Amino acid sequence: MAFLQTIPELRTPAPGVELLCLPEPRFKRAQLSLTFDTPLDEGRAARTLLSEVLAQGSDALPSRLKVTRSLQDLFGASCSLYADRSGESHRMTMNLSWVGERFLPPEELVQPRLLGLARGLLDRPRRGANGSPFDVETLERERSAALKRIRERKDDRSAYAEERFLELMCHGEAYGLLPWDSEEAIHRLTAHDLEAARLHLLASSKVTAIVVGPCDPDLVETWLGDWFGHRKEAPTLPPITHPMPEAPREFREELPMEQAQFHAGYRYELPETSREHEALGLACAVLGGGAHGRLFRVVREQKSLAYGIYAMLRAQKGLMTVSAGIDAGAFEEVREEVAVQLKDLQTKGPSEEEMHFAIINRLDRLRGLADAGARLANFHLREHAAGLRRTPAERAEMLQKLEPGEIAEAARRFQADTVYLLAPAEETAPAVAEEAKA
Amino acid sequence: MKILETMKHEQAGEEVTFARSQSGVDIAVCRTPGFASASGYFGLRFGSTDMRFRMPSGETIDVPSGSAHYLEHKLFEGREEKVFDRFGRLGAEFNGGTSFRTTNYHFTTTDRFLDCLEVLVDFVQHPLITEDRVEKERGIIEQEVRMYGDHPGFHGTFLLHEALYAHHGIRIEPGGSVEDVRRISAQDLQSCFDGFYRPRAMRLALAGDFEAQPVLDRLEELLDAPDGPLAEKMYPQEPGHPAEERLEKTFAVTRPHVWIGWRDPQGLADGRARLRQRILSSLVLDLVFDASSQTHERLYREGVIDDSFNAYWSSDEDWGHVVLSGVTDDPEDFITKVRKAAADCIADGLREEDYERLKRAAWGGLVSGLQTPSALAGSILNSMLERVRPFATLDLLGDISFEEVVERAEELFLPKRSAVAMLLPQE
Repeated sequence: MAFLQTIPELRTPAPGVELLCLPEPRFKRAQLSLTFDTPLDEGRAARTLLSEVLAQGSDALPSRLKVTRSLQDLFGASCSLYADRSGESHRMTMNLSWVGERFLPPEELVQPRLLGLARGLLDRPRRGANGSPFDVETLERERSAALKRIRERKDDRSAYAEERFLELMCHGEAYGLLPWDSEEAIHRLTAHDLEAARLHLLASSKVTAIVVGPCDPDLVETWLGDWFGHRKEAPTLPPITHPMPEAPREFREELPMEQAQFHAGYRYELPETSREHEALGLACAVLGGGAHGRLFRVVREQKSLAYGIYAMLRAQKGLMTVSAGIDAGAFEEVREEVAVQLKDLQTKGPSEEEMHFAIINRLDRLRGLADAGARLANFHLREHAAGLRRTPAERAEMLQKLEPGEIAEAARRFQADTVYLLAPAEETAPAVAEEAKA
Repeated sequence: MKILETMKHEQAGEEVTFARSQSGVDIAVCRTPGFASASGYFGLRFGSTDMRFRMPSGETIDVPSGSAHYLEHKLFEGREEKVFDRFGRLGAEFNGGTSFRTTNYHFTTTDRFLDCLEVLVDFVQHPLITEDRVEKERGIIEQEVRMYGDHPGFHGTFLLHEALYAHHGIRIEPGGSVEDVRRISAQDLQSCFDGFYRPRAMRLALAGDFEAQPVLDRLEELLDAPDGPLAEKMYPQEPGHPAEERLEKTFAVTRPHVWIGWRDPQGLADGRARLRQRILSSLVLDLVFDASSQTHERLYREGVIDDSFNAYWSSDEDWGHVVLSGVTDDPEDFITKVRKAAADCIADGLREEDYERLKRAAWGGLVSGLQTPSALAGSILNSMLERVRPFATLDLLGDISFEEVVERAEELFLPKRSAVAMLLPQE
């Protein structure tokens, strides 16, 4: 399919601002993702809280109610703003989506109005009284909400386990930092700190945009050019670090919970060639890439130890991680099985059937990108960030050339670093054992 | 197989072809020109709440909770080869799902669509259920059920169902309790299959860039011959009012989680009437509690609710209820103020301009929300199982008047139909 052989057109509307364009009239809804990357420095707490405060309104739309009503007027367009860690950067993301023109009544100019609304949130925020950069009541309310969210994150045991695993495995590296810094850092922030963070974000972050679907890319380019044209130079971000493990480590933490969360982390040196990248991805898929993965077949299907067990690459950082929800009593068995299966892959390589399953499944996912705007946008953003800029068709072609020996070699790059288990205390009764009482 | 009808839906920009196999399977095909993937969704109206039924022989069968979900798992075991391997060899994505009233099985592929369709139709029609095979799956299902055990949202929702209903099957999660999962037998699953997995009960929705007729002709060869009548579902008699005013439970949460429900006395059997009621109820909830409402804005500013606040409507043939939920420091304050806000908002009168704006937004979401062949096939199967036309939501949305919304609002938040569930932090 020709669409999969297309690389998004790269435009540079302003210094440090890149726009990837993939207009596609087949889609019913257009999507624009705008990311602002900065180092994971001390300013991240301010930028995290800033994203919450900015979403509460602009000078033109000075409340969340007014923003929401404007989006509804634009036939259910959407605009979300949030901050998170991405690789070893701090990232604020603005996601916009809107209905394609072919469905709208004539003369309805949704895209330009939505772009204006979105820019207003970041560029012309709602100001406070007496010269305060932000409304004090809004700031305090959002600070309180952010602190509550931070304290409550343990309530989602699965997400909390993943957070703790990465924090412990990558301790001392930017990858192990929390995007909001700490409760104390959020507490200390003033309205002026947030304004400084906003100005820094607009002037000095690395801005990447991708627009996919039934859209006018020229309009987006002009919008970004008007907005960021005053910038003097393109910012640079610190390179991602790739330390290798010294000796495998194991951590166990306890919380009242029903099902234990298992994580295992491996590091690898980043490959130099595109073919080696593809081999690493395939090695990970053979090990735990879904229902055809070796871990799923052995740990779930043969041994009934987990409902699901999966492996994934965190390619920017050079990590391969395995995760599963298990019975705490099965921890040693699962940990050993993961090690045994990886060792076997490293020494013997994949079987012919495993190789076939993994390749054909990855080919299917690559071809399927042509149908899903959000997945396609993510694919090209990842390629762009890695500096590879391959098309799905190029990757598919490369995939089919790989030999089993290359998969074993790729698997040998995975070096064990950390095993982590979040589990109930052994003497603690499961939380759900509590009886309901009227 | 003869095509019965082709429906072109202008607003959705889609065309759906309908057919029925000789054995009685209703089939819908949606052509998606230019799309790389194609999907098949095969399902039936049999779900987790179907725990008691009378077989055509007259025998009454009781099965443990979680049986429909367990059966879904067992079908993926395949007869001679695992379904994982069959789809895996074809490179397809696949899955299944069990809800309170339905079960579905589906795949999506960019290659060898007909081969995938053959696998789908074969494994759903021809399982092999033995005690050994059922036993082997037990640990996996137990882990799946326990996976949800740590989710406060999941627990609180079912605690509210316990408060709203005295005997109804929706009091129990679709996966069943761990205790029931441990006692499900091969005979239980075979009874479920024999009673309901009959061609006349099955619905199949397909979407992709292919001609309908050759696919329908192939399906006629793949689908089983007509067979006997279905089992008759038997549901417990449910009073028209909540079972409990309030249920509380301690749980591993940082702050209290609260659910407030208002139930209708009964559900609506007719699919189109039920969908209309669902749209009306959802519009009322948006008018009163969406982020675009004055009520939401006020409660948010006062700190009564935060971003965890959620509102939705749930219904089927024999239930219908509103759920409002949120995380709060002060549950009593949350309950009192949210209930009062609902009553005040209705008493003050809803505004027609708000209603028009919400309809416009809903229309935009509906026309552009079904993009991929998988989303289309899934939505069309749901429509078939709900016994409504595909894209009927769009049609009904245009047909609903403001006066109907006001009328629905006045009956939705009656105090005598309300119940509360709370998860409170452990010490």
